Amino acid sequence: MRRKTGRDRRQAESYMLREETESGAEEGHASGSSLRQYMFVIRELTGREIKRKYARSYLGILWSVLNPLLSMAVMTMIFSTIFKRNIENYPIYYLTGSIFWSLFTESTNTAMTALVDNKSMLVKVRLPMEIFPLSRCFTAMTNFGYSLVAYTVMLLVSRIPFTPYMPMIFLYAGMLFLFALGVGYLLSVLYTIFGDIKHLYSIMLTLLMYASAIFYPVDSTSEVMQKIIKSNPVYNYIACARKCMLEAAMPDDAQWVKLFVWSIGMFLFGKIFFHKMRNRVLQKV
Amino acid sequence: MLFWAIGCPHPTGLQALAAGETVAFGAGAYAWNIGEVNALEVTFRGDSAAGGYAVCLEYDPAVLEYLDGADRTEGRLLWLEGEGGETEYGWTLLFRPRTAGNTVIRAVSAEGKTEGEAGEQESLEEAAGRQEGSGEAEGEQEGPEEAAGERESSGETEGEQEGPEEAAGERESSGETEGEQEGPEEAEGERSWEEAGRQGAAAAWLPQASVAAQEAGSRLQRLEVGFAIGMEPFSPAVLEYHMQVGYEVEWLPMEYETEDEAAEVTVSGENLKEGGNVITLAVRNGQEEPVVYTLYVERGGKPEEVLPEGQAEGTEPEVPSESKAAQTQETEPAQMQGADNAQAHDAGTESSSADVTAGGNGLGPAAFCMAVLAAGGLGFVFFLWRRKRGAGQNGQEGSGFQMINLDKTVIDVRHVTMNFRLAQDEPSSLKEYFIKTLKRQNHYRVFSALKDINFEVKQGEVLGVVGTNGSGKSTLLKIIAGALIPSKGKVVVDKNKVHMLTLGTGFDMELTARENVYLNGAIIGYTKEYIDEKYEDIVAFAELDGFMDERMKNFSSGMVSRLGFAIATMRDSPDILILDEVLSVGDMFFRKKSEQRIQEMIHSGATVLIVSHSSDFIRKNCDTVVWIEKGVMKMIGKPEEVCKAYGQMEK
Repeated sequence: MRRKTGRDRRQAESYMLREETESGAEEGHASGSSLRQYMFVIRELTGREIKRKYARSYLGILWSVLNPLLSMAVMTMIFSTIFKRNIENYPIYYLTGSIFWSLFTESTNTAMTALVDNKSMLVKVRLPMEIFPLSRCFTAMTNFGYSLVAYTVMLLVSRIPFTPYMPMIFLYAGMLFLFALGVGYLLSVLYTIFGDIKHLYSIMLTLLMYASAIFYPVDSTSEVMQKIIKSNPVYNYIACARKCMLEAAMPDDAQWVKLFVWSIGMFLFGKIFFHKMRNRVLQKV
Repeated sequence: MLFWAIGCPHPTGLQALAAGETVAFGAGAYAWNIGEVNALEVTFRGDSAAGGYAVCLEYDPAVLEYLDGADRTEGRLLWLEGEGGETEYGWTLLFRPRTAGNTVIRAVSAEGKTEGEAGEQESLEEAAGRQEGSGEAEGEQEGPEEAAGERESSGETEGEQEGPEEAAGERESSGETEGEQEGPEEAEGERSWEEAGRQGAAAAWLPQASVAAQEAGSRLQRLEVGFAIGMEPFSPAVLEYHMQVGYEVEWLPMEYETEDEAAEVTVSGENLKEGGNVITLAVRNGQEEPVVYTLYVERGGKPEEVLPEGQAEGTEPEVPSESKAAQTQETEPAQMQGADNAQAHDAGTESSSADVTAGGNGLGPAAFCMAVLAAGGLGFVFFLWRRKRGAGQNGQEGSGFQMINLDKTVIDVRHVTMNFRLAQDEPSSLKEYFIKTLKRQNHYRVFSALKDINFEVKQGEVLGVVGTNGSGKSTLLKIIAGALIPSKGKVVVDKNKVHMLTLGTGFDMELTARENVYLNGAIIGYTKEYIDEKYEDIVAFAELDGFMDERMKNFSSGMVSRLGFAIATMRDSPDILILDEVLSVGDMFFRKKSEQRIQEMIHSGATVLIVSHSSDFIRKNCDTVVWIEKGVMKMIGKPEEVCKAYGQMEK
C-alpha cells in the first residue's frame, strides 16, 4: 500500500525542483513553538537535577533551606568565640556572602560537567547543547531561591528593617547568574577537552573564595589585599548585595560598571566560545 | 593503443540496420589473458530466410592463436558458414593470445545466400574502418582496399568484375607484411553470394572487436565512479570512459579492484577542475607495460540559476537529453560548446572558457561578451536570492545546489567523512598538556569513522544500513539527524523533518517512571500537552500500569526499555524517520508488538533509515540497502543482493 502511495507522490513531484532545506516546518502535534518547547525541556531537566540531588535524603528539598542556615550558625559561632571579633549583623553579613557564593560555585561546578554527564543525549537528540549547562545553572538558581527563604527568616530574626533597596538583591543575583553561566559554558567545554580542569578549578575556587571576603570584613585586611579583593568579580556582586541589604545604599559607579561589564562580558564570551567549540566537543564526547 | 582510439563499435552499436545482414560480436572490446582460452561470440542475422550464410573474419595470428569454432580457416581468415532457413546464426570462436598487445578481429564479409542466384554475382566485402590498411608491400592497390570507411560499392563491383584475382595474392602479401592485415577476400567461385553490403551501410554492419591481450591480472576488475553521469558501463577491456559530474563534485571518488591483487594502480589525480578533466588509471602488474584506463570527466560549471525544465547544471541521471549526450562526447569539444551556447547556459560558457582542452574560438566575440554579461547578471541575482534563502538556515547547508530529479531526493549524503581525533598519548596532567602544546608534541591519531560516503534517499524510500559493529552506521545516522557535523562533505536534508527514534534518552533511574515519561518526552521533542494527552496510551503500551510512581531504578531492564520504546513511538510518523537498532526490546511478546509498531511507522509513507542486525527484517522492509564496512561504503543496492554479499563476508 505504502509503496504505491509513495510512488504516486514521487510521480507528482517529478520534474519539480527540490526544495532547499528550510527551517520552520514544525510538526503540529509533537512540538509547539520552539521557545516554549525549549523552556519545557529546561524545566524538566532542572526538575530532574533537583529531584536527583535530594533523591536519597528524607528531608529532600528542605536541605536547600537548612544548609545555609546551619553553615551560618557554624561560622557565627567560630567568629564570635574563636576570633572574638564583633561584626555588626554578622549572620546577615555572612549569609549574604554565602548564598551568593553558593550560587556561583554551584552553577559553575555543575555546569562544568553538564556536557560530559549528558553525552548520550548530546549525540542522540537534536537539542541545542547550551541547554545542559543552562539547566544546571537554573538548578543552582532554584537552590538560591530556597536559600532566600532561610535568608528572609534570618532578616526577620535579626530585626533588620525592610528598605526599598532590598529588592535590588534580585538584580544582583540575576547578574551573578549571567556571569556564572558564562563561566559555566567555558568550563563545560574545557572539561570535555581535559578532565583535569575539574581539579584545577576547585583550587581556583578556594582562592577565589578567600578573595571574596565571605566571612571576614574587607577592611580588616591589608591594603594590597583589599585591592585584590575588590578586583574580584564575585566579590563585587557580594559587596553590592550587602550594600542594599545592610547599608540601604546603591552601589557606587565603579561597582555598577563592573557589575554589568563582568556579567554581560562573561556571558557573551562563554556563549561564543561554546558555539565555536561545538564541533570539537561533539567529536570529543 | 591505436586500435582503441579509432572507432571500435560500441557493444550495442550495431543498430540501425534497416535491411540486410548484420554481424555482431558479443562485445566491442575484449581483454584476454595470455595463455588462456577465450571465447568470441559471433552472431549473424539475415533477413532472407532462405539459403545460407557465410561470414568471414580476420584475425592476427601473430597475437592470437585460433583454436576452434570456425567452419573453415584460411591463413588469417576464418569462415563461418551456415545453411538452412534460419535468420540467425551464432558461433563461438576460441582463441588463445600468444603475446601481449592489442589487435582487432574484424568481420571482412558477411553474406547471405539467396536461392537461385548462383553464379550471378560474387562479392566480397571489405572491412569497415580499417585502421592501418595501406601498409602493404605490394603497392598494387586495387579497388577493394580503400582507406578507412570510404568505400563505395560501385568501386567494388568493378573490382569484382575484374575478377577474384586479388584474393590469393593479397593474402600472401599480408602474411608477409608482418602484423597487418588486408581486407578483401575472395570467396570460392562455386557458390554465389549475394552482396550483403548495401551502399554506405557497410561500415556499420561489419564490426570489429578489439582484443587486448595481456598478462593475467593487469586490468581492473571493477571500477566505480561516484557522481558520474553518463558513464559507459565498465568492462575491463574498455579503456576509455566519458562522464559528466556536477559542479559540486570537486574530486572524483573512485573505487576499483584489480584482477590481480598484486597489481598496482596509479591514479593521475582525482581533483577536478571546471570543464574537461582527464584522469588516468595505470594498472601495472610486475614489469610489463601498464594498462591505462582513461576517464574523460566533464565537470559542470557553477550553478547560476535554476532553469525550470531540465537544463540546469547538473543532470538527470536517468534520461540525459540530447544536448547532454553531446556534451558527454569529449572528443568533439566544438560541438559541446555549441550545445552549451544553444542553451544560453552561462555556467557552461564560463567553464568551457576555462577549459584548456576545449577550443572556445568558435564563438563570435560579441556573443561571448553577451554570454558573460548575462552570466554575471544571473549570477548576481542568484547570489542575492541565495543570501536571502540562506539566512534562515541553520547549520550546514550552503552551496544551494539545485538538482532536478525524477524522484524527490530528501536525503542527500555527499562525500561524508567523519574523523575523530584520538590523542595518541593523552597528556596526563595539565602541565604536561601545556608543555606538549608548547613543544607541539600533541599527537593525534585520526580515526576515520566514515570515509567518503555518498548516497541519496528518495522520498518514501526505506533504506537499510548494515555492517559489522563499529563500522560507522550509527555515526552516519547521527550525522544525518544533525547531531554530529561531518568533518568533510555534507548532508542535505531538512532537519526539521528528521526524527531519530531514540529509546529512553535521558532516563534517570532516581526518578519515577511518570517523571521520566515527561523528561524523556521533553527531550525528544514532545510538548507537555502532548504528553498529557498520550500518557495513558504510553503506560498501556509499555504494560506498566501500576508501576508508574515507582522509581525507575527498581525496574527491570526490560521494563525500562519497554517504557522507552512506548514513549519514542507514541507519535505520528515524521517525514524522515531514523531507526537505530530499536528492535531488540523486551520479551518475545513485546517484541512482536514493537515490531508491528515499527512496521506501521515504516509503512506510513515516511522516508525511513534503519540500522538493524536482523537481515530478515532488512530484507522484508527495505527498498535499498547500504552496506558500510569499516567506514567505507561497500555496496548499495537491492536488499537481497546486499544482504547476501554481507552474509558472505563473514565467511
